[in-house]
Amino acid sequence: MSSGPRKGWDLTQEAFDDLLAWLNPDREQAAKKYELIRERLIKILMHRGCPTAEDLADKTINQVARKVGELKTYYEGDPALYFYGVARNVFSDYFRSRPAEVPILTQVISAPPDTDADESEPEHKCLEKCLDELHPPDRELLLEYYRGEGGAKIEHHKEMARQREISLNALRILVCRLRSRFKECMRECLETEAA
Amino acid sequence: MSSQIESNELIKRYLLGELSEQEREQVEQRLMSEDDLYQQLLLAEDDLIDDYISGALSERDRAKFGGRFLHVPELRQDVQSVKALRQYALQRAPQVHTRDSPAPAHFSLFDWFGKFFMLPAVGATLAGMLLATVMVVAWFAAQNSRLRGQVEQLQAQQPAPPASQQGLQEQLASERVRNEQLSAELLRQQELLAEESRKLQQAQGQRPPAPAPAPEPRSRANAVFAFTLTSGGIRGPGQFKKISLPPETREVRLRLDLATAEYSSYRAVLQNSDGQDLLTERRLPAGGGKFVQLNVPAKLLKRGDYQVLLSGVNPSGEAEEIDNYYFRVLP
Repeated sequence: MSSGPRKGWDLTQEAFDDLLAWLNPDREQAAKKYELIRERLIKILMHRGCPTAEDLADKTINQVARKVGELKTYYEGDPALYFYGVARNVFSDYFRSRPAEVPILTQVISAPPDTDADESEPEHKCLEKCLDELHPPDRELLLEYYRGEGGAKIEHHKEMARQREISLNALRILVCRLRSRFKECMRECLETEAA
Repeated sequence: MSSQIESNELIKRYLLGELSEQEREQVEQRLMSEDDLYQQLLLAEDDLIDDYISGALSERDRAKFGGRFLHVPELRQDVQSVKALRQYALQRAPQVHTRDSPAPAHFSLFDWFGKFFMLPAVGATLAGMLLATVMVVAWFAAQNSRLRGQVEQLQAQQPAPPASQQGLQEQLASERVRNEQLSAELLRQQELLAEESRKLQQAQGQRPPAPAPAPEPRSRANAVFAFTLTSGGIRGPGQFKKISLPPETREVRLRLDLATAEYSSYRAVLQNSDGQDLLTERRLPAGGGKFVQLNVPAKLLKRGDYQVLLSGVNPSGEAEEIDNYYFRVLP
């Protein structure tokens, strides 16, 4: 979920600057807020079953940016919630115009795609590449986290947290961030490999 | 605490698609504006993926998970990536080895070096070596500068009576040789220092190098480096004189050796590898009849290959090309 608008983004730099200014007068803070909103929109759209979550998130941002001139005059409250409202409409439009043969997101599908297949060659290559991109202590932490199995897993994580003198929740957050970087790297790497 | 458990439960139900449309919208609105809840979502997502992979989900949750996660390409990819990561971690789990048991198949030399250089004692040793190398380089730089000063003093004394001129010339030549040796040694030490820094950075996972005392700031005089270039003729690139310039270098003095001193003045043109003229000096004297010195501002010399075209200026003022000199600036 890297930053920056993707396909279909046709806003002018000026409109984008206005959008950032609306989010926060401080450009650096505005950029952070923009990233945060975009990331959360993508996540929400994914969990609504949207296979093109990034495109819809950018479409949402695009629509908000076009209206930002008016918004400044009347909208009060957290801009993130306005984005969410627009995203809901964008999502509804998307589903209405979706080709009929594509499965509906809310269905419980009894035979999901097989994820038990052996690692492919590109996947293994990307796995090693993405692990290499982590600092050695971070890489070791992430690998160690996954070494616990079954019932011993929780004890293993508690022991890891104890050794590092942090709470179990802090450890989970740390691993979550590392894993997020790892997953992002894997997505990009596999896209490149497939190209 | 109880509210966090409630939130966890709510998030899990959200992720598995168990909430009503109204509840789902409420959760999504909170996800947009509450950082803590969003963090909980990320953690819960990871937990669900882990539980799915390890088979810890109930049949019912497993079916719901499949319907929600495995039909969105990005989420499916995340599941697959985490699965691969988990397998990799388990395969590489540290094991107790007896004398008879072989070492793990995946334990590469790279891992060994990584772990070796991460040892505190090794890091400290490398930092010590780095410090020692810096001190040696500083000493050579000081020596180099002192000798260069002496050489220049000797040059200034050239118009001395003919009886002492031959002795001075010999002393000058001897000092120049020594100066060259020191320059070469300095270059070697700089390369050694760069190599040590690279190793240390690799060892520390590209983190900033271990704190080491910075070298003494150079004086302006020390920011001038001299190199002697012999005529290149048709040398190939592999025969370029290689020079390395410290970042604070202000000026580089290129001494172009002359086979014969037939002209009273010379013209030198410095070109980059594209043949672009970077510097032209039109009236350079021959130093002691044996060389022409071209002073080049260091800022003109980036990493790359260069050549100097040397022409002699005849009595009618026309330049006659006599030689060219090649050198390469190292990073």
